[in-house]
Amino acid sequence: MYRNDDLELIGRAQKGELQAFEELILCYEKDIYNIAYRMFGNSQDAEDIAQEVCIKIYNKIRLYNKKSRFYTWIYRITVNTCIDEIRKKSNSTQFIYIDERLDNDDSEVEKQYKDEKELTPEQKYIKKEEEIDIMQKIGMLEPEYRIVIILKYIKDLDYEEIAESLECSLGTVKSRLNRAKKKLYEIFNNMEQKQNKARLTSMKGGDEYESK
Amino acid sequence: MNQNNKMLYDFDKIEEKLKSLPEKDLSSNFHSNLMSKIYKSNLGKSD
Repeated sequence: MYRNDDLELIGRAQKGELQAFEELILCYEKDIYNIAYRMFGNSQDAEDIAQEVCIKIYNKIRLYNKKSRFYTWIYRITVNTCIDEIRKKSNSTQFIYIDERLDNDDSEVEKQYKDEKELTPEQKYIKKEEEIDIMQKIGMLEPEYRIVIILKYIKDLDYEEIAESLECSLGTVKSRLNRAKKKLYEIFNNMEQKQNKARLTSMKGGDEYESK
Repeated sequence: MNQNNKMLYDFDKIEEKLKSLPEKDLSSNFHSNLMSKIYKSNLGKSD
């Protein structure tokens, strides 16, 4: 993840060389977008935030002092910008998964699952529905818990990388992750039980109707 | 514990679902829009 040539590019970008910054940001912009996407649950907000983060990186790159790895420094700016933005929004804890690109555009569904060539279009739609379901559940977590789940299980960072990205101790990461896992576990199981109950109720309703 | 209250997920299953989420692509004009904003802000500084 951390490339040696980044150091040279970082140095040139810190001296104000725009071409070096462009090469550098090309390596990270998709990563930034993906964190924002999983935090906000929709592509429009995620792209707006990713633009804001990239501009912040451009403006702050001279301040990067190599005490942390460059990508965790970038993740820190991304996380802080996402959490600030979520707090600014009035329904800050309310997360609504609306990916208009996936909802409205068949070719977008094909594109998102382009690497899974063995899947039929129907299977791709099932995967899309599953993804929406998972994202709605992640979205029920408070932003502080949502981000540790994203960094650990979606971005696959280890505890140390998460601690650098969140600028906190390893102990804090571990306890926050434990709480986040417990909450997510409850959300998954509570929602599943509610859906099962609803299914049973509708089946019973159907039986009563049949017997009349 | 009756059938309805039985826990249906363990965390390994949830972890598997999280790891299966696909990486998303940026829109095609994202990078050019970004660089255009940065060029404009640089021009403003040099004026």
